[in-house]
Amino acid sequence: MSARTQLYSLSGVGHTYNDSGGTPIGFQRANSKRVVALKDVSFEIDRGEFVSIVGRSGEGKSTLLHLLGGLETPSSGQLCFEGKPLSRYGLVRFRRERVGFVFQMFHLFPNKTALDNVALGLTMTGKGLGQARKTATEWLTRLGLKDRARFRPTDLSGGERQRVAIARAVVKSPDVILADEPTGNLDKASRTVVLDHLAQLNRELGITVVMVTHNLEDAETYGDRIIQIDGRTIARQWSAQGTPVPSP
Amino acid sequence: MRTLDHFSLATQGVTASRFSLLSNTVSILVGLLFFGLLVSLSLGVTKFLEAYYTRTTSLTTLLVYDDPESSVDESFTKEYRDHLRSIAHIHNVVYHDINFADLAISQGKSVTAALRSGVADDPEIERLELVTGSNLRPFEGFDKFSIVIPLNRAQTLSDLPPDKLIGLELAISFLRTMDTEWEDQEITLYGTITGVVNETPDSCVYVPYEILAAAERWQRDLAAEKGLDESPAEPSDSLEEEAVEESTCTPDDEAEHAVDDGVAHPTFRFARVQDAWEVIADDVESDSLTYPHLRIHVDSVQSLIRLRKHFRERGNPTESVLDDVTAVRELRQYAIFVGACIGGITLVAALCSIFNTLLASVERRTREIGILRALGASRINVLVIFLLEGLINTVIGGIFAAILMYFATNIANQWLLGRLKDSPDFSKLLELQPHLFLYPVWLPVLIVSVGLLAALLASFFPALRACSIAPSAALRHE
Repeated sequence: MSARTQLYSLSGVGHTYNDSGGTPIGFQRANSKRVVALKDVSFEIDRGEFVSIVGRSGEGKSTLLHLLGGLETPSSGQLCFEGKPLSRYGLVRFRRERVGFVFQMFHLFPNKTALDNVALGLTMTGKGLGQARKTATEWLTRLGLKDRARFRPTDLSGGERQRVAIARAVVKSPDVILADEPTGNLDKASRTVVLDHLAQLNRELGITVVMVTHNLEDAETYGDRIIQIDGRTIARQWSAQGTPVPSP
Repeated sequence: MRTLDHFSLATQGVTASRFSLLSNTVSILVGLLFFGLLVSLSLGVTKFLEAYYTRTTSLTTLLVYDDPESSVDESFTKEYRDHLRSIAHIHNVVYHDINFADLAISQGKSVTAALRSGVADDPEIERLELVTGSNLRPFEGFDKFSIVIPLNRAQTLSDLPPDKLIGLELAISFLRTMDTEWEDQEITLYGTITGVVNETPDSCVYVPYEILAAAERWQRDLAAEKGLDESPAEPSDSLEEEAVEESTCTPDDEAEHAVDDGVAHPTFRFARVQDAWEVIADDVESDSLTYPHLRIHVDSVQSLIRLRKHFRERGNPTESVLDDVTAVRELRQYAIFVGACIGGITLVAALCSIFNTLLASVERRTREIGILRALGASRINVLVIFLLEGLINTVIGGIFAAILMYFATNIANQWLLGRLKDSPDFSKLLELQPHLFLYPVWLPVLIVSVGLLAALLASFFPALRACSIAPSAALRHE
């Protein structure tokens, strides 16, 4: 096994946000309350690692994933990617080129075909539509969806949709895939297929995978390391073999 | 992110709600159509007025009036002026004729002075006509007095019913008021004996109706005396027998009009009135007469503008069709503006609809915004997508409005033409400008451009709101 290099480094990361209290999105109430989503989170992720994050709802798992993906910036602490603060990369460019997201609800564009949904991930990086579609077709074939390329998401099963979402995330060859409950809406068979694909990408291409899940069994089956969030901070970490991992 | 398909993503929002697409497009279409039709009508009406004015008199004719302040005879009291104006009022006299009365008072000394200032020698002046107003005088070579009356320049005598000969009536009333002795002298009125007003062959002469009627009566009496089978009598050289003198369309002609259809008709002799300039040239030199009203024909509008400035600087009021045309052109700007404003109200209503729909779209597509941001879309990308979504409705509505306007203006023009062509008042005017709704090539461009600009404004706030949503908040949005 080759020596692993550090991809993420979190040190005392905390995050608070304003509770809109039902105010329509886009409008900020002057007296909105500050809500602590995460506090004092410190851990590291190596390149090529498969990390599972588990915890109860509302503990900040998704917030942590958003911080890792540059969708949010930490309110406190330092979040580094490849040894440099994430903000230095430019968050838009970082999201466009370095990370791929997979969501629980798939979040595919309903009026686009599976092929165009996947190609969208690549056109964002500046690739031409023709080239993007060609690469997208290769990825759909690899994920067993070649004959579904022209289907719209509404004509696909849940498992197929999630594989399309994985293809969209991976098509731009990111450093890391951030999967937020990727199997939360799938039956057991589909769940296995999707997780197998993620594991395969991690294993064969060396893409780092950070997966948030409720399912401890899946977390331990696929993850090299499991991080448990509790009380909006890291409660404990352990390896797939059950060995506790000390926090940095 | 050069190749991000903004349009495709924008249409995704538009097509998500077909009812919104339809209602927005129809709203925009109606708004722009109404806007365009009002602009088109404003253009057509003002073009019509412009054509009307430019037809009635040459653009290169300048009327110069005496400066009423410069030489008013103080013996005319204010009451007398008011009296003159009341006469004008009784006879439904318009501005020109009131001016006529005023100018009559001033004896026209300053016009004569203006003439002596060398304007008459200007090589660009084609012809000068001095109009004597109340300054009755015998023309050289004629036994009669003549009165030059500024009749409505637009109309030939054949179009004028007797009650429209307001200038003539005013002149008669004025003379009666001023000096009753004129009546005792059995003055024969020639009307606009110098009335070569413009170059169109059928409207170069104005002869008062009363004189024609008198001539007809005289011809009938003469025919009755001699018998119907005799040829029409040759007018004598005596002006009293001749009854009417009229300059022909071609000033050099002395012709007879006799229609031989088996019935004897009055035959008029058309004795050319001498060119006014020739007639009064000596008078001007000798300062024996004054002329309150000068008509100048020049070869170009530029010359007219220059001369107009010259006379105005001297204190002589001037008048020309160019003034009317300029006023009409100015009116056109206001008419288009007002038309655009009224049409714009409908447009604003349509844009409110777009604004509302886009806000709803932002709300509906919030999570989609989050996905796009997660995939790497920038705020600008999101802004462009939602601006495009707003503009798509407008482009569709604008194009349809431009096409519909073409048909609508044609139909409206045909309908109006059908309604008005049989009207004696309108038929001739419609020959000038048969279309009251104009549809110049720039109008559809204007319609679509205005629509796009307005839609851009209406879409900007929703689009700004869309791009300001934090990506993580958008992804959490239910």
